[in-house]
Amino acid sequence: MPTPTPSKINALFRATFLAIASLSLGLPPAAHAEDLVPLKLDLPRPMFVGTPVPVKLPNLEAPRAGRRSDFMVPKGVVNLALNKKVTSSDMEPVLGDLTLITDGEKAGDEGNYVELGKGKQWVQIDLTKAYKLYAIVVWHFHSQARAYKAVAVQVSNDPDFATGVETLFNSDDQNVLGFGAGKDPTYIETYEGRIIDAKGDSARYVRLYSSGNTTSEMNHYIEVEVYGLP
Amino acid sequence: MPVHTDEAVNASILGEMLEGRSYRYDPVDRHGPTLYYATYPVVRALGAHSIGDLEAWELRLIPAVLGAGLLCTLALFQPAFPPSALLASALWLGLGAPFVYYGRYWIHETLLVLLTFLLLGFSWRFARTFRKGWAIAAGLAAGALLATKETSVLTLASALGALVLTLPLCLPGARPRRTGVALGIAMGIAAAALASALLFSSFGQNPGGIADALAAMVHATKRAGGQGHEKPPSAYLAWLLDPSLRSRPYCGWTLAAFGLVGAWSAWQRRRDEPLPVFMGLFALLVLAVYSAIPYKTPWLLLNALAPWALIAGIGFNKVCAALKGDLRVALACALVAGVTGLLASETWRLCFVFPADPGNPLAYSPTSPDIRRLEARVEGLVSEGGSRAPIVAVVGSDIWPLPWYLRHCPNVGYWPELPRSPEATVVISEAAQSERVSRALGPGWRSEIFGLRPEVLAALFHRAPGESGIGRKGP
Repeated sequence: MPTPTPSKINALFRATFLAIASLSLGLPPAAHAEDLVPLKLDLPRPMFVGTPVPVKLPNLEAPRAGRRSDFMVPKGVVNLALNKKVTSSDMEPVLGDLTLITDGEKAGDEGNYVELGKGKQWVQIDLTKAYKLYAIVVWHFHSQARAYKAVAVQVSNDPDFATGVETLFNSDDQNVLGFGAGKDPTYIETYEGRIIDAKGDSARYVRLYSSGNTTSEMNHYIEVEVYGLP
Repeated sequence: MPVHTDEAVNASILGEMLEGRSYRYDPVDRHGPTLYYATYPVVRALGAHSIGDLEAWELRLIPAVLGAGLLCTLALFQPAFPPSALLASALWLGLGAPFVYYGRYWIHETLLVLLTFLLLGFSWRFARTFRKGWAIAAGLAAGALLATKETSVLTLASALGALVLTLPLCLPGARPRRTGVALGIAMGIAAAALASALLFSSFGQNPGGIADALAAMVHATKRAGGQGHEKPPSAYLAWLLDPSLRSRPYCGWTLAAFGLVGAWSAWQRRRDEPLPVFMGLFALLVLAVYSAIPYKTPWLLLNALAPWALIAGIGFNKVCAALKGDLRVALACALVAGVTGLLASETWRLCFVFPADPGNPLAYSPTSPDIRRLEARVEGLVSEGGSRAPIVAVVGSDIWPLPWYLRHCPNVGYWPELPRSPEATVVISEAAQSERVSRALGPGWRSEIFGLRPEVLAALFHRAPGESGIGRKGP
């Protein structure tokens, strides 16, 4: 009986790992080049390892060799989201609580992530006032190779996201979220998190969407960091 | 609950039978035929003529009915187990999370446990009455057991071991009644041989199946080495007793607690009633044997849990009997309600709320719910093709349980690698081959990623019907 074996799982694990490791974003934010410095992230330890096998799909992240390229941000940016208030479409998470999203802990172990209910869900961070934002980094879940569906990131000064909404990232190619078919690639989660270019937009609220993942119908967040000038 | 890979494999075998091909035992890659023979008449009666006509609930009806049958077999163990103890055992067998969970999986395990109970129950009846009819019934159950799954040999060996231990412990100096016993045993063995030969030979259509069944032991021995399912000896106890992300293991904890009380009680009464001692030893031997073998999957645990549930029933009975005072009945009712509530809460969470969640200890390599999105996407793409249904090419070896989810597609083919010339407008590739497939397909194809199982991904490639630029023929 061909019950899927861990060795097979490992093979595909490896197969997906390069795609996972494909978060090479080197997009310059809106600032003068001479003021830019690489964004320094405090990364958690990797939760899974394997020999990468190239996976290239037209709208899955292309494989990356070596370390992730520097993401340039203005000197002096800080994580504005640290310990800020988080609200959600699911205010009673299945596991954990919403404070985990901005508590600064990015380890992928049990107890460090919040699990929201099935299907389309969002979380929203209130930065308390509008800032110029340069990068948003999100860790959904990284103890297993999986891709989250319909990931979208928006910023706005309207807490209801009814007006003045800027969409910074949208991989929702089936338009599940209703923002139009997204053109950004689906990506596989890793300990490195996903860096999203915030383009120097000024906003107080950051909202992140997803609609399940390749393993379950649930939505998870370990941490979200929002980098801007204080 | 999405259809598990093993269920999908079983469904493919049943699909072949529905299309007119007789079952043919394969000692390398298949279990015995009884599950298929038990299911075939039911799904035929429901109107199925191919795998495309099958629905998951029709298949899962079988283990559900077999699980209910398991409860009925408890009556065979009277009076060695009093009715109140058997009713308590039925709590675990009918409501315990492992029994309910795998009672919803169309795999061989529930049938295996049912046949084990029938074998033990009929044998016990024979031991009490020396009526040859019970011996023949036990033999038929043993034959069907052997023809269900290769692990039945471990069940029989454990039963024999438990018998060898029980007799001197419980009945020292006892001599079996000779008249009719040997003949009854011989008739039972003959019935077992006949039943298993009939089943393995597909009722005479494949005589080679009998020899294959013997050869299967060689392959089963290799498989016992692990084949990717290696776990430490403590794995079964961990599955049973460790709290998980999704629930506390109330079934395991209550079985352990009441089972210890029951085992002590059975030991105290061993001279009067040896069957509970036999049953307890049998459960422990099964657990020990399965724990010693590197190959482990959580459903194998049922083989030890089911007999142990009988011991837990005795323990539960003992605890209730020990209650004193005016509130005795009320306390007993509260105990029943408490255990029932705990079992039901665990079962609800593991079997109905999180049945395919990686944090569910009973969900072993479960199919990801994401596969339903893949199924819907493929069906949508196929329906867009109108009367000219597109060809769906599935590429790779680790693509289960896709054959189940694509069973309604009119033109679907499976290749180990992308063929040079499939006129496919929809291609599904295992992740390991996705880059090669993407390169071979060229520009103009969209791709989406889907999960088949935890950490097992597949890529869906598609383009508008009629735009395929690659080749002409499938396999």
